Parts: sequence; C-alpha cells; structure tokens
Amino acid sequence: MLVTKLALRNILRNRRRSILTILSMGSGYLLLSFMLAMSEGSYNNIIDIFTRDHTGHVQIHRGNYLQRPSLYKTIDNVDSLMADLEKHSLVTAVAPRIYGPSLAYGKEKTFPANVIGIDPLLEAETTYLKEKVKQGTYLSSGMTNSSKMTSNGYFPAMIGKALATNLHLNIGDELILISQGIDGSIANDVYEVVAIVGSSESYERMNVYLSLDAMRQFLSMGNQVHELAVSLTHQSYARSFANQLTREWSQETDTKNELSIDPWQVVEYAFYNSMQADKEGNYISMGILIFIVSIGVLNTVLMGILERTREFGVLKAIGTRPFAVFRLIMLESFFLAIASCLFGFIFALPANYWLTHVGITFPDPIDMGGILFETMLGEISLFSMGLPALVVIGSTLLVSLIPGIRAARISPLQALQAA
Amino acid sequence: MRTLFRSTALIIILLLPSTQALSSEEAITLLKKIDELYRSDNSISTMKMNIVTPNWQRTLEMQSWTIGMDDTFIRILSPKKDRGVATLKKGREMWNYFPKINKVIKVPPSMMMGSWMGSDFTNDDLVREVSLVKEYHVEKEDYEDKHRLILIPKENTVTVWARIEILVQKESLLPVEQSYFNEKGEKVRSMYFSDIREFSGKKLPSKMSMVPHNKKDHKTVIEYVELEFDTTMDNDIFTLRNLQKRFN
Amino acid sequence: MSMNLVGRLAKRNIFRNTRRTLLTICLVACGLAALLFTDAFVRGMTTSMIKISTETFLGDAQIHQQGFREANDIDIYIKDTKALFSQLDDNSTIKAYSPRTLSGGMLASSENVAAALIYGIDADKEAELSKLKKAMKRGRYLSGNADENSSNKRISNEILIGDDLAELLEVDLGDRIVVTLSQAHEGDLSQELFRVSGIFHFNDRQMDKNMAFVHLTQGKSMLGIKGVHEVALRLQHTEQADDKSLGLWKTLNNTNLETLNWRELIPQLSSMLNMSSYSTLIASIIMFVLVALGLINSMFMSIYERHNEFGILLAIGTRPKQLFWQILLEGFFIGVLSLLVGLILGTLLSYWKSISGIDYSGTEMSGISLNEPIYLIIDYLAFAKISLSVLVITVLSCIYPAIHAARLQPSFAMRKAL
Repeated sequence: MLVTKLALRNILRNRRRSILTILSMGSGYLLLSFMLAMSEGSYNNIIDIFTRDHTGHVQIHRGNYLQRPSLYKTIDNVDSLMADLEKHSLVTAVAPRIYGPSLAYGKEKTFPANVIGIDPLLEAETTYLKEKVKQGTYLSSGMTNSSKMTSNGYFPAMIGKALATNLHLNIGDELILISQGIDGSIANDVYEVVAIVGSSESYERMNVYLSLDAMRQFLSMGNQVHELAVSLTHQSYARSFANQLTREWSQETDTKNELSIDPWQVVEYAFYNSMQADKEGNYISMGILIFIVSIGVLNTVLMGILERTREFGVLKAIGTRPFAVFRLIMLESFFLAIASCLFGFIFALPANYWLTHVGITFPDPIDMGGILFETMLGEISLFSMGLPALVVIGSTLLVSLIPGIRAARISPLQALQAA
Repeated sequence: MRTLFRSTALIIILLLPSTQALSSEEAITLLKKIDELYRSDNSISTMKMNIVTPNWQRTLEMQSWTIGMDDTFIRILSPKKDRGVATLKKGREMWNYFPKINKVIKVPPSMMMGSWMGSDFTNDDLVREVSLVKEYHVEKEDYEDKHRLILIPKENTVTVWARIEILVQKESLLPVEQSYFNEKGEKVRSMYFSDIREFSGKKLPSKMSMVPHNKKDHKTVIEYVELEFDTTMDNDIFTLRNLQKRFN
Repeated sequence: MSMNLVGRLAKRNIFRNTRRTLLTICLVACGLAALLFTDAFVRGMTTSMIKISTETFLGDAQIHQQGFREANDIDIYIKDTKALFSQLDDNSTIKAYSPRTLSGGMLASSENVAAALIYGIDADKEAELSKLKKAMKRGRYLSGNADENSSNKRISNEILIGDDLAELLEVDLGDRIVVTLSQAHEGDLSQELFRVSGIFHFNDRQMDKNMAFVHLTQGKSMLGIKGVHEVALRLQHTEQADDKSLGLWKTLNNTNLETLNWRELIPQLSSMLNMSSYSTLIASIIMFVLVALGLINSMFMSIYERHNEFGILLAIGTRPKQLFWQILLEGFFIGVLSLLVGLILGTLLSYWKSISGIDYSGTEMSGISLNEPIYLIIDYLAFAKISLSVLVITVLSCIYPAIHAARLQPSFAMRKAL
C-alpha cells in the first residue's frame, strides 16, 4: 500500500530523528519491563518462599479445623485421598500432618509444645523443613525408617530451636511428651532428639516433629490426619485449584464433601493482606513510572510531528486528502512504536533473564519471618514483557491522535507559513 | 471429688451477721455437715470414674489414699493402657507418674487448670483445699422436700464462681445437687449425688456426676466401690518413691 | 560574543519553541515531583511503622536482666530497682520509663480457661510510655496514684484484658477471673482473684488475645519477687535509639543489665525497612535514567532544528566553546525551571498527603498492624538534595548534545533543508 510505503520511507528519511525516537521509547520500554519484572519477581518470590516455609499452596482440613482446631476433626481415608490428589496434573506433592499440642519435658523444665506428625519424604518435597535442620539429621526418608526406633529403643524426634534451648536439650537427649489421645487415654512417651530445626524466631521454634507412625501410636490414632498440605506447580493456581477441587468433591459421598479446601491466601490471610497492600503501593509507583514513560513518548512523537508541519502542508497542497495525512502520521507513529518495542525487547529479554535466574543480591540478607532473602529475583512473563509494549504503543498512538488530526485539518497555506 | 479432701482439723470462722440471723445459724450448721461429709483423718477408697465426651467414652478404675486435706495418692488400675499411672499431691504441689516411660513429672501451673485425666474435674479441683464454710457466706431456704443452701463467696475467696447452690435432702441431710453459677446468674455446672450406701458406718451418696452445662454431651461420673475411713495408714505412701514403685 | 550574550541567547532560545520547552519541563518536573513524593512517602511510612511499634507497647528501648531474653525464665529479674530507677530519673535523654513484671500464666473464668502473658505494670508510668491507656475500649484503665479509692483492695484486683481474650473467656466488665501462675525460684502456685476492670483493643491479634495487665504490686507479690523483669524506655526522640554513642548505652549495659534498642528487639522490622529503602533506591535510579533520556532526546531535537542557525553562527566566527556553553546553559535554564515547577508540584502533593494521609488500616506488615493512616513527611533537606540531583542530571544530559553542536561543521550544518 502506498501509505505504508510512504510511512516507512518517512521514518527512514530522517534517520537521526527516528533513531533517537526509537532509542528514547525503547529505553522507556526496557526500564518499564525491568521494573515490572523486578516487582513481579520479588512478589512471587516472596510468596513462594513463604508458602514453602510450612503452609504449602493449598490446605485441606475437616470442616472448620482451620478456624477452630480440634484433635477430633480428622481427615479419614487418607491414602485414597492422597492418591487422588497426586493424579492431578497441577499437584507436585502432598504432605500429610497430624497436630497434637502436648507438654514437653526436658531435664527439669516443662514447656507446651506443638507436636506434629509428618511423612519426612513428602514433607521435604512440599516445604523447606529438611533444609532447616541446623544440627543432627533429618528424620530418615520413608515412612518405615523414621518409624524405626533408634538404638535406644525410642522413636526419633526433631525439635525447634527455642524448645531445645528452653528445655536444655541436645542431640541424643531424651524428650518426654505428655498429651491426651484421641480415645481419651493419657498419651505419654519418650523420644530421642535426633535434630534441631530452625532458628529461635522461625515457625518451628516450639515444634516437635515425629513420623506419622510414631504420632499415631502416641495419640492412639488410626489412618487419620488433620491436614493435607498440597504443593502446586505455581502458587498462582492456588485459588482456582481449591475452587475446582471443592466443586468436584462436594458431589462425592465418602466424607470428601465434609472437607474444606483452602488456598494459601485464606490460610495465611494476614500475610496475604500485607502483600496485597504492598502490591497496591507498587502499582502506584508503577503508575507513576508509566506516566513518566508516556510523557517521554509524548515529547518525542509530538515534537516529531509538529516539526514536520510544513511538510504536511506541502502534502495537502498537492492534494492529499486529510484522512490520508492522518493515516500516514498514525502509521508512522505505530511503526516507530513497534520498532522501539522490538529494540527494547532485545535488551529487556537478556536483562530480565539474568534478573530471574541470578538476581540482585542484597548487601545484607533480609530476614522476613525467619526466612532469609538474599536476592531480588525477576520474572519473565507476559506481564513483564507485554505490558510495557502496550504502554509504549498505546501512549504513542494516543499522543499522535491530536497532532495527527490537526495536521490533517490544517490548511496548506497556514502550514507553509509555519517556519 | 472436691469434698473428698476435707480435713477434720479446721477452724470454723464465724460468719458475718446477716439480716436473717436465725436461718443463717441453721445454714452454717448444715453447711458444716456437708463440708465434713467425706472428711476424715484418712481414707482408702476404690472408685470408678466414667468419662463421657462427644468423641470418646472411658471408665477408669482407681485406688486412692488420703490424709486430711493435704496429701493424696491416686493410682489407676484400669483400663490396661493406663494401668499404673499415678498422681501424688502433697500440699499444693502435684506430680504424675507414667509407668510406660517410668518418669515422674511435676505438674506445672499451665496444667493446673487443665482437666485431670480428661475428666470434667480440673487438677486444680484436686489441689485446692476448699472449706465451703470457711470461704462462703451461706443462707438457707426451703425448696420442696429439700433445703437449699445458697453460698456467696467471701471477699477474700479466690474462685471463679459467683454463687454455689446446694440442694440437701431434708430427711437424710445428704446433698442431692451442687450447682455452680457465674456472675450472670447462669448455671455453668452441676454435681449430682445419688446411690446412698453405708461406708465405715457412715451413710453417703456413692455416686457423683459432674455435668457441665456449657459443653454438650460431657459428663463425668464417680462411683465409690469401696471406701474406708480412719484406718491405719503408712505415711510412706505419700512419697515420690512410692509414686515410682513398680506396680503390676 | 561575551558570556553575557550567550546567557541571554540561551534564555531566549528556550522560549523560541515554547511547546517543546514546556513539554520537556513537564517531563523533568513530573519526574522530580514523583521522586519527592516517593521520598516523603517512604519517610512517612518508615516513621509510622517505627512509631507504631515503639509507641504501642515496646518502647524505644528495653532493659532486662542479662540472660532473661534467651531463657525467658521468671527467675532472672532485675533486683536492685531503686538504684536503677534513680539512674533513669537522672538521665535527661530518657523521657519516660515503665517497669514491668512478666510471666506466663493461666486465666480462668467460669466458662473457660486460657493461657496468657501477665504483665504487672505501674499504671501512671505505663500511661506515659505506651498506648495501653488509649487502647481501652470498655471500662477503665488501671487506677493510678492520683485515684484515691476507699478500699485499696478494689484497686489492686483490677485486671485489663484484650477483647479477643474476653471473648474467649466469655467475660465482661466486673466478671471474676482467677489468675494462676508459678512463683519464682521453684515456688508454689500462686492464685489470685481479679475483676475485669477494663477491656482493651490494640488491633493486634497477638496482644488482644494473649495479654493481661495487673498492678505492679500484684505482679510482684504473686511472683514472690521484689524486682521487675523489664523496664521499657522512651527517649526524648525516637531517633536517639539509633545513636549508640549516647552515654546511657554504656551505663545500662553491664554484667547485670542488658539494654537494647527497638532495632535489636525486633530485627524483622529493621530488615523490612531496609528492603523498602533498597527498592526505593532502585526505582529512583530508573526514574533518573528515564528523565535523562527524555532530556537528551529533547535537546537533540532542538539542536537539529537549529542546525542551520548554528551553522551560520559558527560561520560568522562564534567559537565552538561558546556554542557549547550556550547549549549547556539552555539545558541549565530548563533544569532550573523544571526544578521550580517540580519542587512546587511535589511539595504541594506531599503537603496535601501529609495532612490527609494514606490509609492502609487493616493490613499487617511484618507483624505490625497499621492502625493509623500514613502521613507523609517532608524533609526539606532531602527535597533540596533530590532536586539538585535532578538539576545535575539535567545539565549532564546536555553535555553530549552540546558537544555535538560545538563540533558541527558550518558548511555541513547550513546544508540542512527540509
């Protein structure tokens, strides 16, 4: 088409101006993309780290266990449930847990402790628990091994740092737990401390971890658990997965319909709220950035068009219809915008790639709730690469509208008189 | 259960004068009798405790020795799982022994308000020496064929209850119902006495049922199978050593 | 041409193409305003968070007996309080202090039982330091020394609990609460009767659910100790907490006592604030770069437009250096104008929000509930610094275009046509 050819030729004609325009708009794209990648990346990174701390992406309980925990609200038919879940394409791991608040006794002192029965293998796939072992060895892999007693004839237990300090316990010491079983009997047993996990501020600090088997023996429980923590391929699927599963299972009759399935946003709503607030703050700063980029685009494009008023006057004088002039201007702007985005993209891609996989390391690692953040990571996504393009192209076209219309309507006489 | 641990060596404090001088005299006398109902120098007993909760039901059989109001030793005989578990109370301190792990554990304050062995009685109920006469103002009124004693805690009394009411059978002068009320006047829990039998020459209700009104489907029933007062008793029973003794 | 002329020409040239100049000024001014606003916001947020943490209950610093914080053992308490208090009274940096006993215990009502942290506090001193008095939702705060009551007993059995705890225990004002705790030094159990005299609401779940307050005398007698576990301090200015050179840190840190400021007591908050400032820094850098780019673009546009003119100027003998300075000065003037506009815009926006604030209430960040809106804080020195930086960037951005203009060949330049 003639218009297209003309547009392209015009761009190439004033190479320096075009190049400067592309450079300017392209850099705007690059920076915007980088900022977006960084904020999306850190946001997702933080959520990832947080949910892997102990929550998981989705949690399943019986009834209202989440709001009012009780020893008696158990999930039965655990094995078949877990098998069902693992078949799902989105599910990467399922960790079962039994909770039994108890009294822990060390050498002289007593302290309340949260005793949690876990499957060590599955837990390691779902959370960071294994990496948090500061001293000693993680509960051995597999259900049977960790149910084996240690050489002393006791079941092994991992305890949190604060509990270990308060009870003056070390690796190899005896830990006594007293609680009430699910049948009302007095639960009491001795365990051997094989590992100390976490720090004195982390979630694990007053916890004791036993294997599921050991826990079941302690509380006289059968094939039951209190919680299933599900890990998905990406945390963003949590809500939709939870909703979908709730719909599927509400139809079933084998107690599946009594189960509550909650995404991490519900389980950890305080954290979620603060993340949202933070995100909103981020949007504001992003908005400001977009605004500035738009002004840059405005500046560039406007100047480009206005300076060619004389040229457009000539065009109109030789008979070009107003609409054609308008179309020409819009097309030029559009091509410039596309070129700028491509240009920006070429640099943005490697930059974001680096950010995603290497990231910016903080001079001091930052401790957020016991989790150490050392690097700020980025994220390559449609959002971080696509939105800047939308902004640049959109603002370019928007900005070209009015001068385009003006140029289209100007009388050739007036145009040629403008110096 | 609480009444079990009364001591004979109590000084009866005269109550402050009330408007109904005459009836409060009778009331005090009656209350004193109730207070001293299960009291003795010492006692040995065998009892059954049936605990009902919405999730499980259990019956414990226990043997218990008491001296006055200070020392108590209880050992669980059945069910087999809990056989040998024992509790020793000396003064205001309490210890538990668990034979399975062969350990003696001192009961910390956090456990004190917790239930004793899962029942509706708290550790605190066992530990505290409460003399109703000493700690409550009492008034008496008539209620059908029973006396109704209304107990209001004195200013220095440490208790969560705003009011206790005891219904006493006029004929036998034995308690039928003891109810605990909160500040709003709501009945929070009641103990029902029944099945009068004769133990060591004394006629007593052998069955006590504690029913909380604010928790559904919970009940604890204590039944005395054997109960002997003022026999010869070895002081060695109330030692930590005895607590840990192997029992089969 | 003299420098004076260069200056005048520069000024006039700017306004030759008013539209472009205005747009450029707009760009730079907006960038500057955004930076100023962000600075004020971050300052406001930081101060807010610090204020909320330290003023609600923590204090700017706290004194404990050495070893108390690690072991959390009620046996480890500050024994010689009289000497310590006179020391604190004499220290002018310390605005207020509040001694507290602290122990875990059980609260029992007729309906329920709950575990809680029981603080024994000096009513008057605590009111000067923390927000407890202001947090009272129902009933009254603990009676102070000014309140004379006929029976001391009525004062001493006052207890304050949070609304969540009151709900759990199903109690209301005037109801009975029996507090059970273990005395220090392997002592007996201690049980006392209290009456709910006030219910507070801190909008912090931890505090509303797990804390109870009684009179210091009660706390001491129940625990059987003559000292206190903790003394919270408020300094004349919160910033002084970071000044480790102050004498008080030395005098109050010895074999017996350990005095830490809020940063050391809640390191999570400190970390979060550091991260905030870090991301703000990155955002600012990006902003600077954008502004610089826009400016360079603009300058180049204007130069190209005047190629002809420059060519003539050079041809009639203007020295390249003067042309260089002219361009630079143009940039400088644009910078100054942008600075003015940006400064006014930024200051106005920040000022408006410093009065009306940005409402974040309901959210929790790093364990701190934001129960008040964030008021922006204008630090004029910081504003000046940022504005000057923008000016510097502006001028620096013009160097390249200016060099280009100076290096023009007259004949080449004059050849530019349409």
